[in-house]
Amino acid sequence: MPAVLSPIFQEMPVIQESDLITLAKLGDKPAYGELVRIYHSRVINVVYRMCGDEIVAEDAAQNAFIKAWQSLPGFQPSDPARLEVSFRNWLNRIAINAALDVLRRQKPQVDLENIQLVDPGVSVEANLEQRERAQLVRQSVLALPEASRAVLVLREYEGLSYREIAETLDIPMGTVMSRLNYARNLMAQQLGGLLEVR
Amino acid sequence: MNEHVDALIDAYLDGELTRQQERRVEEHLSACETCRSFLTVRQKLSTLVREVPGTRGLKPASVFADRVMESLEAGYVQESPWWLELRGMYTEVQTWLTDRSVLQAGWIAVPVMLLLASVFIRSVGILNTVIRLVPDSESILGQVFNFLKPAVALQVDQPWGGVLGRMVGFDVGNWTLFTSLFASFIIGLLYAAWIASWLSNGPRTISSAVEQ
Repeated sequence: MPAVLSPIFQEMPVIQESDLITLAKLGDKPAYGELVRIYHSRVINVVYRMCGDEIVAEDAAQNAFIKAWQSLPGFQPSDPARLEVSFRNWLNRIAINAALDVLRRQKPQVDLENIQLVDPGVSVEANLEQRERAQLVRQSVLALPEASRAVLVLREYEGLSYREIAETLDIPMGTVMSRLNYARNLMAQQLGGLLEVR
Repeated sequence: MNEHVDALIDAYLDGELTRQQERRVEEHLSACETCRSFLTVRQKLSTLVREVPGTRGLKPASVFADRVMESLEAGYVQESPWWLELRGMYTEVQTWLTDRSVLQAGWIAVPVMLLLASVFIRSVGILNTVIRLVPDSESILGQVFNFLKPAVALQVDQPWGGVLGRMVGFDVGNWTLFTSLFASFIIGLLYAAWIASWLSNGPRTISSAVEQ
C-alpha cells in the first residue's frame, strides 16, 4: 500500500536556495547549515584540488565555512537576479583563500625540481594504470604556482567561465586568460608523453 | 605559431569566443596543421586534468555541516564590514528620527522650549532694567565675566550686554522695550502654531502621548 503523505507535508513550500542565502545573511543559522550541506562537496573539492591533502582540505573547508558565516553580512551579489551564482563565486573565493592560507603555513608538498617528467619520446600511456596517470596529473597541478592553479581549478573542475573566474578571484579577465594559458603550457611540458599526438 | 593564436585556441576550447572569433579560428585550423596538433594536445590535457578524481571528504555532508554549526555556536559571530556599520548607524538614526515616541517627545518639547525662551527673554529684560538702576553694576558684571571668560570679557567699562553678547554669540546690549515685546510676540506666535497643530491632530493628553 503506497504511503500517503499527510496534507501538511504535501503543502509545505520548497525553500529556494536564494531564500536560504537571504535568511543566512540575516543571521539564520539553520538556513546557513543547509547551505553548508549544499556546498560541502564543492568547497571541499576546491580546497582539495588546491592543496592535495584530504585531511588538510577538511579542516580548511571548515574554516572556509566559518569565515563565510562571519563575512556573510558583507556579501553583496554582483547581480541580484543571479543570487545563487554570485554566492557560489563568493564562496569559491573564500575556499581558495582558505586553501592558500593552509599552503602558506605548510612546506611545499611537491618539489618542482624532482617532478618526474614523462619522456615525450616514450609512449607510456599504454603501460600506466589510470591511477598512476591521475597521480602524475595531480602532482602536475599541485606544482603550478598558486595563482595559476586557482584559475585552472576553477576552470577545469568547477566549470566557471572566464568572467566568473575573474569575479571570483577579483582579477581582470585578461589575467584569467594569461594564467590559464601559462598553467596549461607548464603542464603540457611536464606531462609530455601522456599528451603525445599520434 | 604566435601567442595570439595560442590564446584564441585556449578560449576556443573553453567556449569563450564570439561567433565571429570562432569562425576565424576554425578557418585558421583548417589551414594550419601545427595549430590543429596544438588544439588536440590541449584537448587531451583538459581530459586528463578532469579525469583526476576529487574527494568526498572524510565525513558525510550532514556530519560536516553539524561540526561547522557547532563551531558557530561556540562563538563565531557575523561581522559587519565598516561600510555596513555606517549604513547601519545611518539606518538607526533614521529609525530614531521617525520613531513615534521620539517624535511625540519632540512635539511635547516644543511648548516647553517656547516657555523657556519666554522666561529667558523676560529675565534679560528685567536684568537690563536692574543694571540701569543700580550704580556701578556694569563694572561689577564686567569683572565677573572677565573671571569666567578672560578671552572674551574685555574692559570692565564695556556694556554688560556687549560682554554677554560676545559670550553667547549675539549682541543683547541693545535690549529695549521694543525688542522684548517683539520677542514675546514671536514666541506667542510659535506657541499658537503649536496649539493649532495640536488641535488639528486631535486633542491629546500628555499622558496618552507618552503612553503611545
